[in-house]
Amino acid sequence: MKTVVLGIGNPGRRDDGLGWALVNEINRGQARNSLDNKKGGQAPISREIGACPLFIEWKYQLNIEDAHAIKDADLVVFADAAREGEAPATLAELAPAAEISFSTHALSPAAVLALAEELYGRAPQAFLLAIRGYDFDLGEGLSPQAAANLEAALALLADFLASF
Amino acid sequence: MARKITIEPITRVEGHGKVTVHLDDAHKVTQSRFHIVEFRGFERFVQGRPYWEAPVLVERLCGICPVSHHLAAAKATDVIVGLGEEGLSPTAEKMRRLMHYGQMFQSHALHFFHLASPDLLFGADADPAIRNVIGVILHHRDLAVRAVLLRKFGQEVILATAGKKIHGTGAIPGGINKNLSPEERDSFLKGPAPFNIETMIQWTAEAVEFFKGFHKKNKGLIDGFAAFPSNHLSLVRKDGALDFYHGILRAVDAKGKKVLDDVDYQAYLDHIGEEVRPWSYMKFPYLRRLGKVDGWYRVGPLARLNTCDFIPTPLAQKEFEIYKAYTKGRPNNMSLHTHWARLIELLHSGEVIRDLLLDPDLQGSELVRKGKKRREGIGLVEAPRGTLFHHYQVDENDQVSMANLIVSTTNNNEPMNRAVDWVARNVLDGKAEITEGMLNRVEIAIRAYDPCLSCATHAVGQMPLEVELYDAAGALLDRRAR
Repeated sequence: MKTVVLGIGNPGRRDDGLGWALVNEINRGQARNSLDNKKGGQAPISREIGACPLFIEWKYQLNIEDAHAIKDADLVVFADAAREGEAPATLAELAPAAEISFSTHALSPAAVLALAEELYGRAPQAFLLAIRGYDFDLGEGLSPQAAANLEAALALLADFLASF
Repeated sequence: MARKITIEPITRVEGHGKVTVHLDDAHKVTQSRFHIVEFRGFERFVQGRPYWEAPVLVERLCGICPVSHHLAAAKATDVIVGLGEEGLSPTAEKMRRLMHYGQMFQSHALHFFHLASPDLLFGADADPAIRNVIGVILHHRDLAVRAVLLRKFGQEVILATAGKKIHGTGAIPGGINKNLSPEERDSFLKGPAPFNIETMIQWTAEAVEFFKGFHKKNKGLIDGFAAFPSNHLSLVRKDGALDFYHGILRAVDAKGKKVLDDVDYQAYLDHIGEEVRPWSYMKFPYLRRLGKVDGWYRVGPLARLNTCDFIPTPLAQKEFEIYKAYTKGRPNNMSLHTHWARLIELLHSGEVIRDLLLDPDLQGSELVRKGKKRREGIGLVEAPRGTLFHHYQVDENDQVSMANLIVSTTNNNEPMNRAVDWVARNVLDGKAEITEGMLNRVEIAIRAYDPCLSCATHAVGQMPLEVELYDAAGALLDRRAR
């Protein structure tokens, strides 16, 4: 099963980097797993998410080529910061939806799915992992509340993938 | 499992465009303005950081054209590390050029197929439900498939030259940190069709033909919509050739007279001023020689094809001659011809990428040159949307003490206002409400310039557009948002 996790956002805008931070954590966990497996040790479980390796990407925003990137996936998770909504994080299924766009600068996850469906004949099953953020000002690093929400989002994702 | 549509609560930090139109008692337009609602000074993000971090830090300005910021900052730091008359090594210069033209290629392809083609194919009065990229797929599948692959090709060029898709580190002060391996080169030159440069060039040539065919049938719309005279500014190569990476500053007026030429951009402050107007967060640049009232100018594809004398690749030059002949050699001031100019630049970018790939200097080993350190540097490039200025001063600890950035969208601030004003006076005038078709036309006018509100506002995110109509007493008559 091919699972793709796209972390969306800008780490130069504090909590807007939550999507990247999540993918960073997955990346670190997978790197450790790989290293430990080579050494014959047990894979650490703190950041182990899902039984299969995840294909991860860091994105400032989504665009048309992402339809190509997800076309062969079985499952896609779009991880993004949320300015509103429930804390610490929510996971909700997405359906393809065409949209009007004022600019070339971003597409919604639903529009990427719609593109994949129309261009390649299928859209993978997809979910939006919305992690609540609070501080979107210029700067690096997550706010303490957002960092806590990230931990919860990782746990939520791990549980979800384990049961999927 | 049943599927459901979820829109909320996804968010991005939002840049925000707003158009306000004021009417008199007879509903005649008295004033229209294009506002950028959010503004945050990105410059302070760079201040206090070591100058060598600037080329990577500034990539966070924009997820669409990070390479332009990366290279403009790198060029400024070239000056700071004392790069002399001899300039970059041939390998470094050509690697940067390949990166930059890859960026131009992917950005121009995206704009045309994603933004311009729905408007052109379906018209301003089409149902918004089909006037989008999905509509293009349904009605012109080949165009849409090509759009994705053209953009992907440009991005792969960026990956091979910058080292990463995001936060590339390819350009460093005084040079570049990697060359192009023969394997990377061959993947672009000899990749299985369609993913090779020859196919990409062929597709871009066909895109130019597509536009010309459309133009022949729709001259009224393309020529007349939001057309107005202006000055035009860009970098050009010393000999007058179109050049996106380096050159001298040149500006021409609406009739083609050179009002700025052969200007070393290290002296840009002597020639470019930035006016602050109380109603806008975004500044209004102007040519000092012509003053604040008359000195405003356009940048971007339309401006570049007005300032340059020729295009130094054969296929694009042939198209340039046809394009220039249409205005009898005079400057082209028709906003929607920006799409035509953009496609010619797309074709040119493909040709340049091919020529660079065939150049053995890309496999050279001299990557960095340095000289006597300076405390100030200015870097300019022609970004996809127009001229991009980066200016830094550093203190005795090598930290950035001053940063000034003029992004393409800021350069186009007045032209975008003029384009919106054209729509207001020609479409909204006499009306007390905003229809869907009117909103579409406002969008089409702004889209020709493809403003990067993210850059201009120094935020990243979606850019909703609002149009508001006010009566003579200042009361809101109607509002539409998208």
